[in-house]
Amino acid sequence: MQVIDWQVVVKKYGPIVWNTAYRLLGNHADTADCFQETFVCALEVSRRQHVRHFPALLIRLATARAIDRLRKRMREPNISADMTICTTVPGDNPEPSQQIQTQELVIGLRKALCQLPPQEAQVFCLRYLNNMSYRRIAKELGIKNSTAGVLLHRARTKLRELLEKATVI
Amino acid sequence: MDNPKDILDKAINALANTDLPPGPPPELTEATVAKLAETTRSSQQETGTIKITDRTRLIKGPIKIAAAILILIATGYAIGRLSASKAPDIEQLQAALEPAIRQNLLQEMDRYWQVSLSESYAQLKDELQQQYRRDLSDFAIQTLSASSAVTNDRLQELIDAINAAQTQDRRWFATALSQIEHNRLQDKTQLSAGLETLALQTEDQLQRTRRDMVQLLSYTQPSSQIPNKSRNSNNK
Repeated sequence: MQVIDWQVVVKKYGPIVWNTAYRLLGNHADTADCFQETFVCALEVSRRQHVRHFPALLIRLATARAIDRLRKRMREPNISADMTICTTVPGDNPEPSQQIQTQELVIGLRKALCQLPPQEAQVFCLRYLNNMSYRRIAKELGIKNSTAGVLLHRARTKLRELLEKATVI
Repeated sequence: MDNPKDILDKAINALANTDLPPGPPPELTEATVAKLAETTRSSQQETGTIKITDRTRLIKGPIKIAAAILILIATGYAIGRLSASKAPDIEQLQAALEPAIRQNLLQEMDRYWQVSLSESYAQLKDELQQQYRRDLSDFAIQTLSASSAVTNDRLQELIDAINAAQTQDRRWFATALSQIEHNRLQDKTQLSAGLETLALQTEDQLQRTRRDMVQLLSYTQPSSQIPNKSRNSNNK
């Protein structure tokens, strides 16, 4: 059995998990919950199998948990993804109009990600938000490189459609 | 930075470049570590206890194997009983087996005696060797002690003789010294007596000489003879 010092793991890779979750969820409370869930899930994974690359595993788990949470949030009638506007830290855009446009794009992308199948959403986030290679994504998800490419293409197509539809509306 | 025309690229760009607050907060890290420790502990407790279903699953296997073994034994026993031949003639069997048994017994007895004799011979040899060594060592000890006692006696005699000779020498030396002293005293006495005698004689001689001198001085010559004599002496 693999012996892991979780205190060290949490301190070393905590910021990566935090950033991954926060980028998708956009608020502190959900990110904190996702953070804990990610590490508990990683503990369970480490019991079942030998973990060779902790950052990749943690990013994958954090992305999956964040997408799940985002999807759950979308399903709840009272709370929507728009609440992220209040808590998201503004970017470097100098003009307010551009800033609002960027925020709308971010919210739109989050909403669109919720509508994708979970695996496609995961592949998309891992590739474009975490800069993971196809090979690493395929290895982490247990799929072929070509499958990862196909999933990513499908995700891109669907997201583009959803975003364009949202813009037209 | 490039501004992509595609809406998806724009959205990806916006989401990827979203400013993120520094994190995680330390209390969240601590809480996560505590939760992980708690989860580990609870899972260890769960693994320590075995559920009833697991137990029955564990027991089922050995029971099956034991049952199969019992069936095999029973089948083998039954086949053996059924296929066994009738009881043989005991006397014929005895007559056939007795010479061979006797022969074997004799051979076994011979082997046993040979083995036991060889063992006793080896044991006796060892004991004799040990006894011989013990006797030799005792003799050596006694000889050494006797020779050392004789040597001590001889040495004591030699020491006594040397002491006696030394005592005799000292005695002779003392006698010689006393004789020398006696001779010295005697010589001294004689010498002093001789010196005294010499002194007395010398004194007497001196007294006599003085008297002669006095007589000589007191003797007076006639006056007529004196000038002539003096004149004659001057002419000469």
